[in-house]
Amino acid sequence: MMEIKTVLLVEDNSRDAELTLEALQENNFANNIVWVRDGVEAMNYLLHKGEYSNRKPGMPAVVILDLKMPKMDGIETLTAIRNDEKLKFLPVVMLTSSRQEEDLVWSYGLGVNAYVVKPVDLTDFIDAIRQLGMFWVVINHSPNL
Amino acid sequence: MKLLLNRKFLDVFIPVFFILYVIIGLVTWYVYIDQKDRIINNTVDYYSNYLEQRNDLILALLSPTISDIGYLARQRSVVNYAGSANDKKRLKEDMQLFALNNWDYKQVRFIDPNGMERIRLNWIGDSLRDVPDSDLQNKSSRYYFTKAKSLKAGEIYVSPIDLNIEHGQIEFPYERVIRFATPVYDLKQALVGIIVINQYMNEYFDRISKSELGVNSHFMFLNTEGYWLLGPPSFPTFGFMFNNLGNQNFEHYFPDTWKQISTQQAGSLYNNKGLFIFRHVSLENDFINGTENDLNNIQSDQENDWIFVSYLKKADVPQLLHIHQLFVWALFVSAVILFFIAYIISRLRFRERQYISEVNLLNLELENKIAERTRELSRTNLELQGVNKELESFSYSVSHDLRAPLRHISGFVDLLVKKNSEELTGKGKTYLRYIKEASSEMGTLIDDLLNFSRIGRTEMKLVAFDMNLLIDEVHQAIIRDFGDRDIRWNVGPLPEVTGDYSLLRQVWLNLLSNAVKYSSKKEYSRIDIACEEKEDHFLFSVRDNGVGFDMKYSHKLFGTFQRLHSDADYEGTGIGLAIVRRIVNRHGGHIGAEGVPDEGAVFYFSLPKLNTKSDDGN
Repeated sequence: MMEIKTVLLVEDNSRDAELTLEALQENNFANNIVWVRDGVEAMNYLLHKGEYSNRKPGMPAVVILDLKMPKMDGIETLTAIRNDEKLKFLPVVMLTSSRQEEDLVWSYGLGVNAYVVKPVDLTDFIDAIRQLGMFWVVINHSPNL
Repeated sequence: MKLLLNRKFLDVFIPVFFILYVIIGLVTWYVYIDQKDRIINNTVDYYSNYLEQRNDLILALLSPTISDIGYLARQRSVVNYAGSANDKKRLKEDMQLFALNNWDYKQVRFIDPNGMERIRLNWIGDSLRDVPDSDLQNKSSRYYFTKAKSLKAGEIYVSPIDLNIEHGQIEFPYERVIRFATPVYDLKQALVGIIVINQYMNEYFDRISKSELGVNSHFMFLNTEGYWLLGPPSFPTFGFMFNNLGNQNFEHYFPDTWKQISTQQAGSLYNNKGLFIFRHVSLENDFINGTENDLNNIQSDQENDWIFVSYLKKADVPQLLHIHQLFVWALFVSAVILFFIAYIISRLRFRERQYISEVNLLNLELENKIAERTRELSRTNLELQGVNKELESFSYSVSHDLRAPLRHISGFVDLLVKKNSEELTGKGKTYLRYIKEASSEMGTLIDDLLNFSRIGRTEMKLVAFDMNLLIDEVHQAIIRDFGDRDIRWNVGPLPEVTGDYSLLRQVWLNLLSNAVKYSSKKEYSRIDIACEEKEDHFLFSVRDNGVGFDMKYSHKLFGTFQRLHSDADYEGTGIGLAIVRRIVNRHGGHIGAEGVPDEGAVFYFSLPKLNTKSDDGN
């Protein structure tokens, strides 16, 4: 029996979130998704702070981060995660529309686990999300956090 | 000459002048000293000769007297003299005959052993007088008597020169006198008497003090105590004989000089008083050891040596004055000349310094200007960097923000088709397909644009490589992309070049893709690749047998998103050749094309041989 794991989706754009959720739903990952709108919320969730101070314990199997967000953007969130003693081994995937080389280099420099450019075509996008979910949620084993 | 009032000029001028003047002054001084020595030596030689002549002259004057007195002392009338009247008469006759021979024998006397004058003959004026017996005196206390009395037969005493004294008074006018005395012995060796001759020296002294001979006026005749017997009018003579002149000797006037003159036999010295040339004269020594060596019986008084001196004041040696004047003049004239030379040199150096400081000033200004320009340039550079930054963030926005809505359009159209296609009526599905196609087209355009902009900005990595290898690689890629197409390649030999490998790969890829693409409607594609070597660059060319183009549109070939053919005929966005041109330009090369419609096209581009970084960012 497969252990049910959570996916933390950090995405400010609701249309993008909708598409991503659609893709996750298509692949039956939708039940375990937590969607937050920026890095601050994401950190609150991960560290049990603010509105998430009473959430159920446990860490997501993977954090899917958008790059461009208000308040705290993807790079800053990644930095905060990697600098936190408890969170530094958390798998983080960048899911972005940017093909910019510098974004990629930055992210890998900060220890991102994967960098995925959102395909324009929906079929391709669903496929990419499926592979992502399969790998991080089902196949991959992370250290217990 | 106004420069002489300039302090900075004087700082240059004064040292130059003094250095030159010291050098010239030392040379002049050396020449002066040398010439002065030469003149003094010549003068000393001349006067030494003169003094030697004086010496010879006085010896020549006195030697007959010595012969004569010796001869007289050997006469029978003297030797046999016994004091009788007859003896006296005969002796007197001989003495008279003797005295008549020489007017200078002012007194000829015979003194008996007791000192009493027995016969005395005096020259007074032109006549020889026989002094009467009543006037004869006793001379037993006189030095010449006592000296002569102690001599052996044949020996002659010579006295110092002094002034004649008669009856206890110095005779006036002065009679300078020298006495010769010799004893007379009979056959039994008994003393018969003394013969005394007073020889007057006035005539001799007159002769050597005559001033028409210039040299005489410098002549001094000194005795060994330094008293003048004869001298220039300014010095007193025979000081030793007068109570009031007792200290008036040479030492009194020239104490330092006297020390040397009195102790040396002969010589010269030059001091602040003038030039002294001196010579000791010794009758005894000169007669016995000198040229008159037949007279070996002289007994000269110890004091009877003389010192002959020629004394020349500095003013008395005209050449010395002359050379001194010349020296002063030389110093003065060289001062004037050196003044002008130093002035010219200093002016040159001063001007040079001025020019140097002016040049320095100009340099400073230039440096300031350069610094200013550099500041401006770095400002411009900063501005450019700012613009570049803006451009980057612009393309970032395009990349990220423009793509997101595009993806949304496409994504939701897909969802609509997938989930709600049943509800669509009429042309609904077709319109959705158009939306879908348009959005994917726009995606491609955005990608091309970003690609084009990246190629313009990425840093070039220049390396040397073999163009043949690059063509091989691109060749393989083309074959992969156009798998089943019949392509006939003709690749000429290619050189080694310097450039950015991946950018040049893009050039070839775009050119060769175009060549294949635009010849796709022909039976086969023929592609010729060649290279021509020029003086400073290589000219590469790609010829195809494709659709070609009309030359009047050639200016549009390399523009961004410019196309000469419709998308329906040959798909593409029109960015490929724009990228090629940008890369070639960045390498410092040029690109061009020739085409004939339906026959084909040639694209060529140049690459400089020496490709130092020619990147200008365009």
